[in-house]
Amino acid sequence: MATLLSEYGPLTTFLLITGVGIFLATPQGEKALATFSKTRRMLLGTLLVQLGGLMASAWTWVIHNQLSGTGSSQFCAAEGIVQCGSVIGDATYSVAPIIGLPWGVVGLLGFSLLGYLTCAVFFSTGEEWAKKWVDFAYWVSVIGLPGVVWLVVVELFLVDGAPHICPFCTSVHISMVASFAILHFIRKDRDAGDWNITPKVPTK
Amino acid sequence: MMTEATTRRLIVDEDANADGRVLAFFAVSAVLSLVFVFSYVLAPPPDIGPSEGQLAPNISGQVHNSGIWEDFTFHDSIDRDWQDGQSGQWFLIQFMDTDCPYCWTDAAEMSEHHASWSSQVTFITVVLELQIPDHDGSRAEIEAFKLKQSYQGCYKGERNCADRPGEVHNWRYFDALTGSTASDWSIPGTPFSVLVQPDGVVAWNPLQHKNDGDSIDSAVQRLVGV
Repeated sequence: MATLLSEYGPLTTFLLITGVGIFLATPQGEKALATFSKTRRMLLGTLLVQLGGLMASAWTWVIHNQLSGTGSSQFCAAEGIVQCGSVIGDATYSVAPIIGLPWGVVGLLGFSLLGYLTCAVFFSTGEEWAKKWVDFAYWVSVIGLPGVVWLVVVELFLVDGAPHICPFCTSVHISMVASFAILHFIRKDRDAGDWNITPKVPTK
Repeated sequence: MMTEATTRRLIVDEDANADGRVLAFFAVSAVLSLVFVFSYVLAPPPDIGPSEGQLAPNISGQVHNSGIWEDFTFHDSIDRDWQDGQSGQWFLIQFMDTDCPYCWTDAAEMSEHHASWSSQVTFITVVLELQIPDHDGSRAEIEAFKLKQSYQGCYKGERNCADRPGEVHNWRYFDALTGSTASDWSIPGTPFSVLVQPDGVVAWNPLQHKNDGDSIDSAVQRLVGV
């Protein structure tokens, strides 16, 4: 029971935060945030998605440190197909090529940058520069996509005993792809002249 | 003409423009700091490095062992529960280059060491390729050097590997011709040998004994007791 909680408790939290973010960014999210304008609601959704990704990345870094230091982690299974021990604990593929940083740290830095750009736009939607900064955030998320593809290939084909699916890594991947998708739609709206930042007045 | 009022308005406008970015910076910095502190408290990054007292950097890849090349991960071989004073298998990790003349002569010494210490010390030879002319390694050359087989290519390519001093080396030879092993271990040159405790912690590094005259022989005698 304790193992289940320590393993799946954090995962549920990360997925929940990301899921709420995705929900808010969709047209259905309008009911939940009735006074928010469309653009600001989608930006808030993006921020939550990025927060979920950042937290999940930090968690994979914690697991990486435990596996490197002690050889085991109470937060992650080491047996079966769905497990993170063989992926995050892999001697070769647990760090990013060339830069040599654990993938968790790469995710932390990536989502921090994305979060900063999105947060700045969210706080200043009325400013002209904010429209341009959406592009910056979008292109940073585009840079993250090859990393996601590479890590999925690693999980499915390259790690020892492949295929393995690391649930925490998958949670990070979902956040990155969702972040890209929502930013894409925000840009699309902006290009169509639908930069909607006027707060709605609730009707009685 | 710009009046004080317009100047002030411009400054206020600039401040307003900067506000979102500054606020975002502080917000993200706060979240990131919290996450870093939380992660660090939960599981601090392990102290990995080649100095004595540090967890030895991992060596992962392929080794030549018992006639075949097979996967090997050094950290899978260590006993993390080992305590000082307990019995256990120590590790002598030698870094060498099949084209290095000093490694050529050191091979005989390694054979003697293995004959004396192998009951308590596991030998691993990590074969690097030094970035100097005439130092071109290959797996065939590694095998020939290890097993003293006929292969013209050892000792800067000038000698036949079968002629190297010492006996056949019946321990693992790790292929580190590519990769980051040399930089992970901060290898200053070859041959270079490090003694590692059964729990993977570096027990003796020659770079830390340049001035006290402590040799690998005396270190093994003192620390392992053979």
